[in-house]
Amino acid sequence: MFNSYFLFDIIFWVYLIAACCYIFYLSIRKEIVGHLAFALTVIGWLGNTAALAARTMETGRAPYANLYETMILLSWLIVMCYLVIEIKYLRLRVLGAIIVSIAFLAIGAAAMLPYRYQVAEPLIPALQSNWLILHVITTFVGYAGFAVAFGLGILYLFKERAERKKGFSFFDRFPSAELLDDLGYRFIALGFPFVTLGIILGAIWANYAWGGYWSWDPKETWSLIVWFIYAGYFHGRLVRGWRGRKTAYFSIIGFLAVIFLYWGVSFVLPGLHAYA
Amino acid sequence: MHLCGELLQNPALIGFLDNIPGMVYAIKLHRKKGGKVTISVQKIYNFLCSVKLAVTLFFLLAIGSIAGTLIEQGLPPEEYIKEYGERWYYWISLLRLTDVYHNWWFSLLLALLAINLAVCLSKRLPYIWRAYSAVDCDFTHNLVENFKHHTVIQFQGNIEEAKRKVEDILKGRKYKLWFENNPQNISILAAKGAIGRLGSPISHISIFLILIGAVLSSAVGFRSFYPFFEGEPVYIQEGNFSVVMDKFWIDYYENGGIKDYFSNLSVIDNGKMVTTKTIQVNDPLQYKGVWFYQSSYGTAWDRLDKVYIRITDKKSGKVVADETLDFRKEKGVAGTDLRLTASNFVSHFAFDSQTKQIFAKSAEHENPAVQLEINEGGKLIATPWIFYKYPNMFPIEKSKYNFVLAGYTAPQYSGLQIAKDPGVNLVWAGSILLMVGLFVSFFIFHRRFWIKIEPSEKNTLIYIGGITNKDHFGFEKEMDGIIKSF
Repeated sequence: MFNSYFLFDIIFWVYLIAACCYIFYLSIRKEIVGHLAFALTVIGWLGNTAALAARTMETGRAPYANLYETMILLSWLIVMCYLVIEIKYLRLRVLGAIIVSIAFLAIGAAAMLPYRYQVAEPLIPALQSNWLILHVITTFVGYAGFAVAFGLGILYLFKERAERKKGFSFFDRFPSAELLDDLGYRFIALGFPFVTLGIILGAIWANYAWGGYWSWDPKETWSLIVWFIYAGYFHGRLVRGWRGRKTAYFSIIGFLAVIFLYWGVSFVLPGLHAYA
Repeated sequence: MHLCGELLQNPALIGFLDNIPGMVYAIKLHRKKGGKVTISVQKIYNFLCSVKLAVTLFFLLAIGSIAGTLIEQGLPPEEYIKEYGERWYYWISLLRLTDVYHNWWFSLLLALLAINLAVCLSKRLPYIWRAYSAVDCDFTHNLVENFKHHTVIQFQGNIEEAKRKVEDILKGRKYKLWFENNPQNISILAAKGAIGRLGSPISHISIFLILIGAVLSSAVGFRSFYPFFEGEPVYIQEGNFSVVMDKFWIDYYENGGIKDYFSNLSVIDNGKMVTTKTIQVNDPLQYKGVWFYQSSYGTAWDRLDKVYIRITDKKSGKVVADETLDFRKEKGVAGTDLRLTASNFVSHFAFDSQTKQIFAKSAEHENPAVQLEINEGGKLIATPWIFYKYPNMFPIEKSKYNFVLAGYTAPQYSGLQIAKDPGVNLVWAGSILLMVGLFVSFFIFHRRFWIKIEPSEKNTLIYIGGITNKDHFGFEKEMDGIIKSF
């Protein structure tokens, strides 16, 4: 019952149905559908929590030591971000349609990994460190923030176009473009310090394990690239006053770079981070 | 002056400020035509402190870094030619893409980033400081009504009561207050989160520190890999002491996977053993600022423990002896006039035709070979290389016997990374500052309210207007809350 794979399967379906409910809720204005979607998301998130806990008990270590496990962690964090939004601002419930969908896609991508990526292998020597716990969790809080901002950025582009054209549109139910822009900024402002902390903790760990805090391995380099993109975003936004479409594109490009950093580097480019 | 900091957030004004030097230059030009020196200095200054430069540098550094991850770094030229062809290799080597992160243009971009940072910071710091520390209670209600977020509250009670109410509400929300009691009215300035203003300069200074630390690391630090064999001391020049690896071992998981590996190290300084530690992956030894990290292990490529030789008689083809030799130790073969020494070993045989040297092409045991010193009838007759994979390839003419390398055992080495890095502490200091700066900057907002209390005919009017440097959405909520409290 508390086998982690069983729970992973459950949350896959629960998130799928929840995301569908949110999309359904967009098209018909029935609050009951919205409540159902919210309830399912909460159940999915609790299941996600239980899955991570089960994995911890099964392996006796932090439940995010390979690609598969980190995807489960990522969806857990994304849904948590979303639940905070919804509980704080009920009127933003429609955002579930995009954010819960992203979380579902994360779980779905994890489920599609071959079995050998899913099994919990014992830790290789380099990963046996308490730094693993801190480095991974901070990095993924950052990724989750960027993922949510990515969803908001896409939504912004549609909404902004709909607002320009006026008239009836599917996007009427979404919050105003201005609010989407501001929310997107806030999630990047959440993600950036955490990703920075993740990079720093990784550097400390690398220095302790390999004797150098920076060795330009592809994962490190791509994390720096991502860092540059978001640093550029902040300079544009806070100093030069960029708003709207420009920053929305930034949050989309930034997250695409995160996806490459996360998946592309692991599969395409060889390096020290070969394990995840 | 209290608005200055706020206005600095305003893009229109930023453009204006950026143009000030340009205007100065125009005026100077007007006064004395041909003042070329001032022009260029001004232009360079403008260029160096622009945010455009910063964003451009981010972009270029990112592009360079991407190139560095797509093209494998530090390979010999022939590998690139094989992979990309002659024509592309010309461009790759011209742009120094074989070592992106250490080439001149990447370093130049980093240096420009540091200069940009320093110039920008020195320009903006006074404004930031003023915004952080400004307290000015001398204003009219017209100013209050100029804020984007402002309102007027009809308050039932006199001015003093109104003041007390304002104080209660804002102190309850952790605001710091300044008052000015005028004969006709009261001015109040309320602020919180001013420290949030300092986040930006702190994080920029920290990046500067990290860059200096990195330069220090690569200029004075050293990092090298060294294989340690059991019992053989290694002299560490950088610290003027020696280190011996006493023992190396590996722990396995039940499924056969490697759990961890360990080296027992002793430090010998001035002929005395000063310290000893068992290091493992993620647990290094440090002595006199030199760190020893367990990084790998492997089988020796240039030495052996035991060498197994099969000796056969050339005429009869019979096995004369199966001899076990200790590496580099002469041994007589019983029942013959042979004395044999296994004098050299290479794991991956290679011959340099220019220097006439034999060497190991890699640490892999691809083509192991042993050099045998054959002493037959009391004199050295040959020193052939014999190959494990190709027995009897070169028979030894002068000898009655054939010699076959039947097997060998090689010692394991423990691969240690040795590093001394005086820049690392600066990098950590910068990192801590960076985190402080980012968290302060992103999670503490400078919110301020200007409040004017004035009596009207029937009751008291409270004018409230406010601004925030970030998080406008949250600020509106806060302002609504405050207004509702009245």
